[in-house]
Amino acid sequence: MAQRDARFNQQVLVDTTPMPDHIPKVDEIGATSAPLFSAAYFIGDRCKAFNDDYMKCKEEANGRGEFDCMKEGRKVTRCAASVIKDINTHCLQEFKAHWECLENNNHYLFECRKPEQSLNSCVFEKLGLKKSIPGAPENEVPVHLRPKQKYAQFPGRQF
Amino acid sequence: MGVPFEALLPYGIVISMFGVTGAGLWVSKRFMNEGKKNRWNSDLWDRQSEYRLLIEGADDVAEDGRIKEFGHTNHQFLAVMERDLRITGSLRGQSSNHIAPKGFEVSNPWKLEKRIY
Repeated sequence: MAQRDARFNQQVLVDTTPMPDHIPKVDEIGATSAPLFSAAYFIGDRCKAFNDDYMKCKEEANGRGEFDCMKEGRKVTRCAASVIKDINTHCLQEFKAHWECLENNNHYLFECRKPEQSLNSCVFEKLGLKKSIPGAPENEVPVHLRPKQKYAQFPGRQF
Repeated sequence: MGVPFEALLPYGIVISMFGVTGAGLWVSKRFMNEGKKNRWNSDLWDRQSEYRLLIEGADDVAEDGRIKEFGHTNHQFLAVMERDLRITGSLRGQSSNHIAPKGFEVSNPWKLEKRIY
């Protein structure tokens, strides 16, 4: 019963009881949707091992993953926070330009290839993280490197 | 005989009213989205948490003063966007901090529904 979504809910309950002391603390990530989406591929690049580890742990925990995999989960959170912190430190301008573009274009990556290019090159120079799309065909140019985007409002070359 | 210009006046009014409608919609949508472009279908990719609590007899809890009215969004589909609201205090606000503000970890709301049987 606890896993059923509430329907037609009119009220919410905010329970401000903190976590018990025997659970180690971890700082939550403060980036909202657009910056998080903008940094997603870099988070994936640096934190792939941690993320895979967490997913494997959850798979093997037989439905108790939320409790048994908290150690791995904290590593995932800390790693993602470290990526966002580094991008904020080294590529703040490019990062801001990209996520503001995303936020203004319904989070469509294909509308924002130009700021994405400068963000990608800055992050690659300063942090060594590279955007790669998992599972993309090897023999084609990946979609984020094509200057023309099929469904973008502007039909010409974006960069 | 040509068409007198008075015959074309209604068409002029009709066409300019399309412009008025469009400008009004543009302004009101920008106003609702805090000066940004409208956003749609943006949260169907993720449910932030699969755990929801069904509290029976929600009226009892309300005496604590911990239940808040929550009317202006459709919560079924606003998980990460709702997280934006919890971090920044507004639905379209964005922040790129790597650490969440204090109190964020305990501000996740449980959705309540009244018992129906």
